[in-house]
Amino acid sequence: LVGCGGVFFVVCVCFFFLCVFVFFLICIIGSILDITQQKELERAKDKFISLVSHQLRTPLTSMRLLTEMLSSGYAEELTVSQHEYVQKIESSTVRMIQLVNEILGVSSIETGRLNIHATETDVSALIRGQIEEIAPLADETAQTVTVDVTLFSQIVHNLLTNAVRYTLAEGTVISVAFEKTQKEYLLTVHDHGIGIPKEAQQHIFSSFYRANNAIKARGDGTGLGLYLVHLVLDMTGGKIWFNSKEGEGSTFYVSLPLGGMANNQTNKMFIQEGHA
Amino acid sequence: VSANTKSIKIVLAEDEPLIALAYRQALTYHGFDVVVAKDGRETLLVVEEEHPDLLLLDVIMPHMNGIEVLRALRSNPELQDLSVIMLTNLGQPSDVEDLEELNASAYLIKANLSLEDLVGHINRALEGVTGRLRV
Repeated sequence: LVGCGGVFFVVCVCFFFLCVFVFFLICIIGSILDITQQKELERAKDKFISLVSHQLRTPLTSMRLLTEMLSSGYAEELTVSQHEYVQKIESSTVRMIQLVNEILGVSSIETGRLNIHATETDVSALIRGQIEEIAPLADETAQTVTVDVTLFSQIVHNLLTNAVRYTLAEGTVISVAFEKTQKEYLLTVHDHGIGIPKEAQQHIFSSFYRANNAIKARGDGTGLGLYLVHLVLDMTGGKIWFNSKEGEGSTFYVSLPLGGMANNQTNKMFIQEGHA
Repeated sequence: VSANTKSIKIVLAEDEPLIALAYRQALTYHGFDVVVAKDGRETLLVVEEEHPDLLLLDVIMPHMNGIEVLRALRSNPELQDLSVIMLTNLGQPSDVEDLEELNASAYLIKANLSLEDLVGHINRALEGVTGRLRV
């Protein structure tokens, strides 16, 4: 390091370190800007969903309440046929509200701002409650697991509703089991319904997707039920898979870690970024 | 109509006329004494004047929103223990978070609520059943 050669070497080293420093500075500033933009986007999406939610639900609420006033005797008495028509308007309005709720639920979860309130819950009682809403109960044993009650209820409800909706033969048994294995908790919903055609099986968890035989059997689905279940499980550390044969029925399996539902949204956001 | 609800006064803060009409009619039918306020500022005045047993409070209202009204009520020693049921059609998780500290008896999504459901929630709130409820 003597003479001009030494000075040149020192200058090169300094220049090299300066370049490395500037490179890292750019990376850090880039990351900060990226995170800021992402957060702003999330906030904007959140605000948009809130606004749409309010604007869609408010007129539907008025329709629901006013038809309920007519059908439940809060207003003047109706003739039999008027009562029948009003009840039909009321049930259609409630269906529309449920559809809006489903779409908003999906949008809300898709923003990655899902709040998980996991508490120790008797899931057998929860499953029983969901079954009783849809069909009489077969058997029950208490089983306590840490889950978000609202989200887990949604999962059970969507799977049971599908099993019932697509089992066309009356008197057919739909079986539900919840068990603890060595590795996980496992919920199984088995039906003898129309089943999922082979070509549809890879799309069944996509949003707004409905298999052709499902559309033929029931025209009123949204194609959001299984998508929502998949999305929620993905964000809470669970998994869903199925076995199905067209015309013979389906078995859906949901697994939860032994620790119960947990916030897995960091992974979800990472996956979303990876695909972007 | 339940006899023990005869003298119970409810302030209904709701700016949407058709929703206010339906709630008022149903609650009156069930024997409650109902006073309607159409915006946030009016709600504060009516509550201070009427000293109701319960406030049904919409979130999105002109002048002051429901959250601002509830904050103002909670900072008033005379009204800080008033039973309040929040009503909204927003329904975002972040909207609920804002309300947790303000100690509402329930937070209900109006679209998911029948008139009978509303009466049930009011009776539970009046019986002192607290805790955040989401419908």
